[in-house]
This record gives sequence, C-alpha cells and structure tokens, in this order.
Amino acid sequence: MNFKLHFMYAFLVGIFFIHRLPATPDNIKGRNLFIHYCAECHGERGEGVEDEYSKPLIGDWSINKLINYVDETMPDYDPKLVTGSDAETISRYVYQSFYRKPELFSKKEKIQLSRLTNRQFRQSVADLFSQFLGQPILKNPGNGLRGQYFKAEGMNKRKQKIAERIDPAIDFNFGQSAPFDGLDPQKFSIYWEGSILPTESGWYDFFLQSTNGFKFSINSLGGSHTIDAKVGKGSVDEQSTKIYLLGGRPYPIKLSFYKFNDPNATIELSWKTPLGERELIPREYLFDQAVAPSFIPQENLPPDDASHGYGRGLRVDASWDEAITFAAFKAAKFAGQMIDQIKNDEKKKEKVMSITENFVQYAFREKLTEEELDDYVRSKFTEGLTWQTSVEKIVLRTLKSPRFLYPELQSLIKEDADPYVVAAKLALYLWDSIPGIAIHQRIERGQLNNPKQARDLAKHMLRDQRSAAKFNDFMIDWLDMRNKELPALSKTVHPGFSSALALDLRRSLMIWVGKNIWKNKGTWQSFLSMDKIHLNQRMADFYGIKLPWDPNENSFAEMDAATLDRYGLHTHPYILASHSYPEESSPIHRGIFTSRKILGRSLRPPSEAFSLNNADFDPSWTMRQKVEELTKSANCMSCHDLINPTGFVLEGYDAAGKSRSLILGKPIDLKVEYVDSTGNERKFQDPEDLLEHALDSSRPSQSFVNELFKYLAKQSPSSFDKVETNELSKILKNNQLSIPDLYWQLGYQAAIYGMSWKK
Amino acid sequence: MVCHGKNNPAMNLDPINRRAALRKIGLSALSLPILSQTNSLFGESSSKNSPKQRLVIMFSPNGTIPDHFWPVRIGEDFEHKTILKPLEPFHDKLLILRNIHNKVKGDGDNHMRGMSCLLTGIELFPGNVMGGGGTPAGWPKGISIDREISKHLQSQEHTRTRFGSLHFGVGVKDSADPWTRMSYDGPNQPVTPLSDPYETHRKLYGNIQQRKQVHSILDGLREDFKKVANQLPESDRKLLIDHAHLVDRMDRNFASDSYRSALVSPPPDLPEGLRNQNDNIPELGRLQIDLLVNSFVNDFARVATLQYTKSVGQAKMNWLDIDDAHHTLSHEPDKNKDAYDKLIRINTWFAEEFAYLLKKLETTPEPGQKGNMLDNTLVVWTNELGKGNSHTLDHIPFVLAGNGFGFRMGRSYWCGDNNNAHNRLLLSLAHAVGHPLETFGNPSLCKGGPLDLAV
Repeated sequence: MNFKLHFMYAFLVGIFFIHRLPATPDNIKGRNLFIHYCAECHGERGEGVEDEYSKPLIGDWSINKLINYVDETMPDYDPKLVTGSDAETISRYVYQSFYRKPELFSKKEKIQLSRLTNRQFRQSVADLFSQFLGQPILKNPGNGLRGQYFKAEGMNKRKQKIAERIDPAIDFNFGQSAPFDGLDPQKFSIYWEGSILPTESGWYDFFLQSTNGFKFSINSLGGSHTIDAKVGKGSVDEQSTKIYLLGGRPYPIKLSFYKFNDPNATIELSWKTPLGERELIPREYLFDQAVAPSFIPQENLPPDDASHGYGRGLRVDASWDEAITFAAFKAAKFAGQMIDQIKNDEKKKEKVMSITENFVQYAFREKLTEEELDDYVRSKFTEGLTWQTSVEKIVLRTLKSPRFLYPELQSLIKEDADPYVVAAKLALYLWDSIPGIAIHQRIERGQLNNPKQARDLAKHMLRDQRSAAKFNDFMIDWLDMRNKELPALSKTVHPGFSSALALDLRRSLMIWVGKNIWKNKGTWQSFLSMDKIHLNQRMADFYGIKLPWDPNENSFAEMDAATLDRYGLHTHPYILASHSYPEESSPIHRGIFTSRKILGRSLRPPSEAFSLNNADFDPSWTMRQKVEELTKSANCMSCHDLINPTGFVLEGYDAAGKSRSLILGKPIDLKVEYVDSTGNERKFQDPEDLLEHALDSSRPSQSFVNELFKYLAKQSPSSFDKVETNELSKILKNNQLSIPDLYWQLGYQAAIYGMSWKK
Repeated sequence: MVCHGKNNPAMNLDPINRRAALRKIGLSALSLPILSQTNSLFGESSSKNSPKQRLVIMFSPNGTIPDHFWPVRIGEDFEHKTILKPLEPFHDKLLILRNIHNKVKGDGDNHMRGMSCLLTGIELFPGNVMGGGGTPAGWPKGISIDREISKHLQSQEHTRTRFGSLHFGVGVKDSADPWTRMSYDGPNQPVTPLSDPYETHRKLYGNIQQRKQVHSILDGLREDFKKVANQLPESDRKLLIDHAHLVDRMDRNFASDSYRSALVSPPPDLPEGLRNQNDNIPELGRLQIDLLVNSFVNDFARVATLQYTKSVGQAKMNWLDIDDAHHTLSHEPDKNKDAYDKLIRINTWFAEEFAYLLKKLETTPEPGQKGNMLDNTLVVWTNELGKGNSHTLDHIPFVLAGNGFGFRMGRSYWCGDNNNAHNRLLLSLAHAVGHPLETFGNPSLCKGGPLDLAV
C-alpha cells in the first residue's frame, strides 16, 4: 500500500465513519461517483454548495424514486452522464449515507437572542397596561349589545329609562314611531353598551350611519376612537373610525343615539374586518358585558422576518426602531394621563410610586433590586417635574429598554432555574406576552420553584383567552390564510359565490378551530378528519343544504360534515375555494396544501416558474389532463408525482368547493396512485382514502408538532434538543393527547429547557 | 393562470424584496410629516414679496359687561373703559365697531346662534340639539368667513400657504356641538380647533417635541444596553450592538435636525407635561398664541382663529381668584355686585390676552419686509353675545386691531345705517382681501353691502 492509498483509505474511513456506513465496495464506488459527478453542486457530504444547490441533500422520497430521478435528470448539466447502474449505485449510496438522515446536517443551533415580534410587542404592551386598567375577560357567549331606551327632554338626553334589552345587531329604522310603548316617538334616546371580540388582529373600520344624533366609541382611552356626531344633520350621515385591534381580546363599545324632533330615526353599526368585507357586525362578536379598555399600540410596525414561515424578531433596523419609539412615546403619554387621573391627595405619591415600580417590574418580567428601582423609577421623581412628566420618562425608557424588548435576555444570562425566567418564557411562548400580577404573586408565594409547579402554571395558562388567541393566530399560518385575500371566484361560472360567502367559509373554518379543536379539546383524529362543520344560512343556500332550524343570517350552527360530503380538513370548502383558480379548481394548489399539511410531506420550491395557461390546451380536456400534460417532464415530476395525485383526488369538488360528479359532462376520474414516504405505492379512490392514510402515518403529526413548536417559541426546534417533539407527535397521533394539551406541553417543555433546578 | 412564480398563492412573496420596500416606505416614520412637506413649503415663500394680509379671529364667550366695555365717545378720541384698558397702548391701531347685531333668526337658542352664526351669518338647520330655550337645531347652513377667506387665499398661487388656516383652541372641551364650534367648511361641516398645544406643535413642526423627549432618556438607555450586553456571551451580543447603534443614530439625528434650519423662525419650546385643563388656561393660551405667531412667521397660514373655551363655557378662573364658573356667573343679574365685578375682571383678562397677541405681532418683524407683523394682520376680538344675562345678540363686541386690511384704525365707529346686521362686517372682511362677494351668509342680511371701514 503506498502512501496515497493509505491516505485515500483513511479519508474514506473518515467519511464513512461520519455517515456510519460500512465501507463495502458498492459504498466506496457510490462515494467515488458521487464525488465525481455530484459534489460540485451538492458538496462532498451532501451538505450543499452555496450558489448551487445550497441545501443539504435530504428528503422523503423512496429509493426507487430517487434512482429514477437521478437516472433521468442528473447531473443537470448533462443527464446522460449518469444512467443505469451508476445512477442506482449513486442513489443507494446517497440514500443510505445521508438522504434519510437530516440529523446529520442539523447544526445544533443555539437559542438565538431575538426581540419581540410585532404581535408580541403589541400584546405585551396591552397586557402591561391591563395590569392597571383591568384585564378584559368575558363571561358569556356573544349575543348582542345591551340597549337601554330612555325618554329625552331638552338637554336631558336620558331622562327616564323605559326599557332594556339585548340587541343582536345595531340596524334600526324606527321611522316615525318609537321602539317601545311609553316613549315619545319625537324625543327619545338609546344607549347601547357592551363589548366586541374580534378574532383576528389587524385594522378594523367601524362605520356609523344615522339620520339622527349619535356618539360612538370603541376601546376609547382618553377620548380616542370616538365619533361625536350628537348634532344630527337631518339627512343620512356616515362616519367611521379606524383602529388596530388584537384578536381574541374584548374591547368596550359605547353608542348613544338621540332623536329630538327629527322626522325619522335610523341607526346602523357595521365594520370592515382586516379581510376587507364590510358587513353589519354579526351578533357572535357582540357582548352585553362591558369590559375595561386596552391600550393597543396603533403604530404601523414594519413586518417581522418571516423567511422561516413564522414571524421572528431577528433583526433590528431604523424603521423598526422609529416605529417602536413612537409607540413607546404614545404609551408614555397615555401612562402620564392615567397618573394624572389619580386623586391629588397625600396618598398620591405612594400610589404613583407603587404603580410605576410595578410597571417597570412587569415590563422587565422580573423583580428589581432596590438599586435598580432607584435608577429606573425613584430618581425620576425630581423637584420641578410634574408626576405626569416623570411617569412619561419612566415609561418611555422602560418600553425602549432591551430588558423589555428582548424577552429571553434573562434566560440567556441565568443558568439556574429562576422562577421569573420560567414565567417570562411561559408567557412568551403560550401568550406572546408578559406574566401579569397573578403570576408575579404566585412567584412571590414560592409557587414556581420546581418543574411540577411550572407544569401546573402552564396548564393554568392554557385556559386564558390569550392561549386561544395565539393558537388561532397559529392556525392562520397553518391553514395558509396569512396575508391572503378571501377567495374571489368568477361571478359567471360560480354565481352566488360572493365575497360575503367567502368570508363565511373562512369563519366557518375558524369557528371549528376555536370550538371543536380548542374549546372541546380536539384530538388529532378529530382535527384531520373534521367530522363537524359550521354552516350559516348563506352557506347552506349555496351548497344546497337545508338547515334544520331557522337561524339569522350570520349565525353558524354545527352539522355533521358528511351531510355536506366532507371527508377531512382538506375538503373544507374554504380550503378548496382558496386553492382554486377563479373559474376552475386547482389540483396543484390543493395538492401542495394536502401534501404538506395533511400528509406532512416536504416539498421544495420549483426550480423555474411555469404557468398554466388555459389557451394552450384543448378545451375538451379536464383540469387533470392539463396538469398531467404540463408537469410530465421528469424534472417536474420529482415533486408533482406527489402534488398531482393529492390534488386530483379532490377533483370531486369544483372551485367553490361544491361536490360534483361530472366534469365537462364526463364522470370524474378520482383514482390516483400515491407513493408514500416509505416508498409504498398506494391507491386512493377518494379523499376519504387519503385521510385514512394520513391518520395512519406518523409524518403529519410530526410536521404539525414541529410547526406549532416553531410558532410558539419562535426558535428552531433543533435548539431545544430535550423537547420531546417526536414523543409528543406519537402520543398525538395515537389520540392520547389533545391539541390544546399538546400546546401547553410544548410551551412548558420549551420554557424549562436547559434549566437546572435547585433541590 | 399561474401555477409557479410570484402569483402562486401557495408561495410566499420574496421576503427580502418586501422588507426592502417597506424599509423604504417606513424609512423615517418620525420625520415623515416634515419631509413630505418640505419642498412645497419653503420653496415658494421667497417669491411672495407683496405685502401679506392675515386675519386672526379671537373669541371669548358669554357676553361682555357693556357699560365697562364700550367707549361712549365715537371717533378718534374714544376712551378706554376698564375692560378695554389693556388695549390702550394700541389705541391708534384699534377700530371699535359699535351698534352691530347678529340678526340671524331661526332654530337654536341664542348661545347656539350667537356662536355658530357669528362667523357664518346664516341660520342653523333644524336639528336634535336642544338648548336652554328656543327650538332644537343642528349645524349652520353655510361656510364661515375665516374659511371662506382662507379658501380664497389658497386658490391663488401667491397667497397659498401650507395650511391656509389654523384653528387654535384654549380650554375647549372635547364635545362637537353648535356651542363649541365657530368655524365651518360649509353646511353641516364643523371645523375642530386644536386645543392641545402639543398636538398643535406636532401638526406644525412634526415630531420635534417627541424627539426631544426621547432624547432625554437616551443616556439611561445606553447604560441599559451596555450593562445587558456585558452579561451576555459574545455570540449573542450582535443584535444588541446593532440596536445600540440605532440609539446613537437617533441621538445624532436629533443633534443635526435639518428641519429646524429650514424654518424662518425655530418652533417655540414647549414646557414638559403641561396638562390641558382648566387651571392651565392662561399658560395654554399663551403657548397657543406663540405657536400662532410662529406659524405666521413661517408662513404656514394666513388665517387663524383662537377660541377661548366655548359658548356657555364654564372656565373657573382661579388665576383671577374667581371660583365660580364663567357661564353661571354670566346669568347673574347686574345688581349682583360680586358677580358683576367678577365678569368685568374676566373680560378684562381676555383683553389682556388680546393685548398679548397684539404685542407679540407688533414686536415680530415681518420676515423679508419692512415693518412688523401687526402691520399686515387684522385681529378681531369678538363674543357670541352682547350681554350675558340678557342673552342678547344685539351689540356684539367687535374689536378690530392691526393694519392688515386697510381699514382706518384708531377710532370707534357707530354703524348708523339702516341695516346693521353683522353680515355686512363679514362682507367687508372678504372685500378687504380682494374677494368681492355680493353676499355672505343669509343674503337678506347683507343689504347695503360691506361696511365701508376704509374711510
């Protein structure tokens, strides 16, 4: 053996040692061929090459598919160079040494220091103020606003209360009569109050239309978001106000209405949600209970880095800094006003001190030392400054401080388990927020000193509306809804598919998420199989279902999904319609959703852009034929052999999600062949077969658990190697763990990760 | 139809490009209101060398005490009674208009019509607002003279300014009704005065005040960053260091504020934390006057209103040792000596504020021209009632000052014509700025045309 061979041998052994593969002749040959033909783009160990194929060479194809693909398409500069037995040798080497071993490439990532995301910032600021304004919590389901009906006389708009009731919607035309006996039709006033609970975060417009005088406010703090139109204009007057609201949190609403000798009496309250559809506010969103207002930062914040599929706070730049500064400034002003309201007596000093000290401690998520309190709070109350000015300075500095903006700072500094760090992480992961008074008190009572107590707290926090709101926000990502407009279908091909209906579909799906999955603690099976669906009258009319009762237009009721020919989450009409072209279904978009989400398969983005242009095809072709034709090349088929069947099997639903049995007058061919991730070929006859396989496979739950973890912790799961995501996805798949329980388990495990507890 | 590429609903937009675009848009959230206006604002003013004409209308409520207000002598040697005593130094620049009445009838009580018809000269719509008497009413049916004049000036290039008109309030409560609004853009279109000097400051100069406050905490903030970063392992510091650089950047931006240098006169500094409440009315009023005059120096507007409280305003003037609410006092009969005396003191105080405004204008040189700002400004002080306890709309106080409108000043004037409706005065104001309206407000009250105040 000469030196060169020695070296070669040592080198190869080294390589094989890394890949834990025996150095058989086939493996050595595969290795040599790979280095010769493939390493230029894929790297010597399949790790990828910048500017070529930058990602590790891993995936979930079967060996046969891999051989076939290499044979036909590789190397991409000249596919004829590697064929037949060479293709097989390379593929087997790749398959065995690293293709199925993603862990070889996962660098153990450190938990990265990150700033609050936009949602976390708004939520944290809102909850910080709620510690003093009161946490808004609703007791009963939404049913309308409380309306009180008054006699009016002269300047006394509420002279005597005649009646009180719950009004499910504010949409009245009393004409020339009075709403109640005992009221003078010429002179009366109505006062509606209660609250509104939007489910999604974003900008809301509220519209008031009236021929009379009115005054409206939504979440008004110090006069903000108020429309003062007490002076009627004699004709229809419309005014609106725009406000940023965090979803899953109730806000107080007040509406006064005055009729005084006007010829008629009308009033209407409608809104436009972030999805852009203006409508009367449906009763489900209105509550007769008044709650405390919330301070929600109204500034436009530049979007978070979403390059990993979920928002992360990994970067700071000037536009973010300025937006945050301005938000902090507004918050400081508001805090100053609050302090100004406190009665000016001998106790004021004590009160202001205690409020501001707590404010800073809640914001920093820890107990401050006396020295720190002097620095941040006490030293700011100096001669010559008003209470208000001092408080403004304190709040401004607090909200701009890294100790507020970087919520995991303490966990990176402290190694021993610290109850404040655990609580801060739980609140961040489960709520996107801060621990409030109750949790601080728990810590002070010594009730967060071991993992069991942390578990109890996590379970307890699950019941808070903020957990539900964060899960809802996760589902918006997972269901492919984020930043996506409502499906808009062709009015001629799909008459009746209005934007209002599109909104109903989305609501139907999110009501199911909120009720059947979250509130009723849905299992994995109930999640994927979606055996219930929520319908309102407009949906029932469109899909030709007779509702067993007579609801008002906006009310949803739960029915068996099978009544509507639904067999799995992938067959919900919103999912189908939002993955369609305006006129026809899109098996490709549906297939991508189904492969990724329902079957948990991984897909890489296409190497080049293609368009499906109807004019290129024979008009008598079905969509399935067109897609098959368009994607038949080996290169396309590397992904489309997965996408196409999982989309074609949904061809029994048209673009609007209506079930159909004919396309262009011909019976629909739903039968597909699908190669699962272990290389088994399966035949699906319909969406139910696909569902059955999904429930049987371990990939979907694994993928779901990973996605949920990333969303909760805003970190890569590989940074948390002790978090039992695999174990949890197994239990989840076996339906021994509900989805909400998975939620707190993940939050809890991430929160105590890497901490050593003192005995 | 597209299945791959940027219209593919299953794919995200390129995050880098989107971020880059947003960075461009959001580049300077704090400085945007200033930057976007800079060019059009300062480029033009140099060419405007013809004498400017400006109008200020100052309002104080609840009537005056006629016997201690009106000079008896008509003409140039009119005397200054108690209430007008503070205006004596401006004797030669004053024009006291007597025997002018608000003759607008119709719906609404006298306070409402007094206020909402004062500058509009037209009836109120029937409405749902019920006052202490009369019939319920709504907003007036027309535009107010200040907005009309501003519209006229804005329609011509050489008199156009950034805002056209500005509306300052002092202690104006947050309620939109005909007692609280005097400026209107048209039928049913009340204009809300800015009654918080901090808001005014922001409107005029952008976020300078905010930046100043932010600046005051930067040292503490830097300490925080230093302390925290030192505790972290090296690899975690980068983000914090980036962030700390942004803090420094904010500091530098503050130091080299390019906007300030573009102004003819720098914005007045506001004291920190002055509350917008009753007890601070004197200080708030002075701040608003300073801002008003500064906005004129920088030629942001040619028309302004300055509204103290509102019709039926209930200011408690503790600073005059008066604990009673103004409107309540104004209802007291004349024989209530205590109330009578207090009302004289209240109205005298308003005259002092008026004098402060005049003084401020008089001592401010007209930028780029000879003379001072009062030479080119007409300031009107008025009230919604002639007298509080009678609620009369006759003999509305109109004190004019300054030489901006070419009226003959330095006299008291008795309107002896057949028609002495105040609409004629409103018409004269329009004519004086080269806007020869035939009628303003209710046409039947305009008989005789504008008052000839130039001779």
